[in-house]
Amino acid sequence: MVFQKPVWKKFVLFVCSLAFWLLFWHLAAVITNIPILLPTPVSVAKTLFSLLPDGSFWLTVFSSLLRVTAGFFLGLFLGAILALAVSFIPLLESFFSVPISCLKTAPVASFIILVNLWLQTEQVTVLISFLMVLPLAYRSLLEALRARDEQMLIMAKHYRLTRLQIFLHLSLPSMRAALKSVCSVGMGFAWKAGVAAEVIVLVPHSLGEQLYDAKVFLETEQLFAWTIVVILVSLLLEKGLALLFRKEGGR
Amino acid sequence: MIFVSDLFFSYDGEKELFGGLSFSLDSPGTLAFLGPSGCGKSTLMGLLLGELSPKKGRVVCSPAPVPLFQEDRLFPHLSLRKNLLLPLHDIDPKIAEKRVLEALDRVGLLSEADKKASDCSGGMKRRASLARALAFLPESGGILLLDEPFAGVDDGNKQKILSYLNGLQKKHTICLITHDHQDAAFLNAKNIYLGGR
Repeated sequence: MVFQKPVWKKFVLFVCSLAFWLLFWHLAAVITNIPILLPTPVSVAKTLFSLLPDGSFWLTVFSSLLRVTAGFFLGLFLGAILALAVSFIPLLESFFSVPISCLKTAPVASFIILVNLWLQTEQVTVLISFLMVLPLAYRSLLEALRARDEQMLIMAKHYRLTRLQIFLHLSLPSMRAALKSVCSVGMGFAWKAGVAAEVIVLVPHSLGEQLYDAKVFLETEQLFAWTIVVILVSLLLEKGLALLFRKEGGR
Repeated sequence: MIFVSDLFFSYDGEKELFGGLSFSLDSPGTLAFLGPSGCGKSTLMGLLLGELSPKKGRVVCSPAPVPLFQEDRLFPHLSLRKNLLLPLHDIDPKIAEKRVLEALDRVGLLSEADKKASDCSGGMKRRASLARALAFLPESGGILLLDEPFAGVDDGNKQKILSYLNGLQKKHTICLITHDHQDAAFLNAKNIYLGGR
């Protein structure tokens, strides 16, 4: 039997850990005493709260979020389609292996610069998020399809189940389990790469543009505040997806 | 019709099984395959189903047999009724539903038709798998391959099913893989001993 810590204990531990690192940050800022390099958490918090009532803050957050999630879901969708295609026609795996390997191994910065030559700046974020998620979704879902119960496939053959029945009752349940990890890891990938693309190509009304401006104008407090926004949005997305899958699993 | 002639089989690097086994049955009735664990009973099922190829000899089964595997192989997220209905996709839905309910009734599971397979006990799953095979069997002239059909089934239901199989063997060929000589005797089966005996 596995004993789990009660929720309140986890929460207390989290708060203590957060308090420790905030204190560490504060002391480091006080000791160095160069706000342009390391502002205190209090001044960063003040900057962050000053951003919240501004409509353009929310516009920035939601437009970045929209572009990244669009790329994420496109990558997930196409990854699933490719994985299914390969599971039906195994020869296709060799055909897809070259571009998928390139996407997995090439530095994301190269893609961002290259894609910027071809597309409008807003579209770069979508495409980069898409390219980050596509190989991950493809590989994970293909492995899940290959891990389908061989004995059930033999049964399906002898009871002459249709391809659609096999897909609905054998392939989809296998893919659903893999989808959880793809979403959790892939959303993080898409978000980080998407914001990096926004910084490099300077997408208007984006988190990346705000980070870049803060750096150029040496507004370190703003830089920290926007970074915290990026982290919070990423955490919210991750928790939201986890909650979605928990609800799905509970059905 | 089942025709097996001069059968030899071996898994890679392992000892040879069956030693030239031959048997045939071209009219309805029951063949019982008996023998100790590891003698190749389930391997023989794989050969009869065409999942394995003999090293030497011939295996002919016509029409394609309807198997009851040693494992239950039900979709856990579906009800027993839905599990049984899936293979009957190419017949009229009303007739399919009737066949499914009759088959569930024969194995004593009619009242559990809408229970999810994952919520069923091992014995219930076994009986549901058997019901699926019975529902899928053609009207007559079919071949039913049963690999240890009564594992985990209580005595009451076992007797009920055996009685039904006894009637069924007048129209179909039943291949029964079992440890239990009494089951074979009940069905007045032609016994085939595997494992050199």
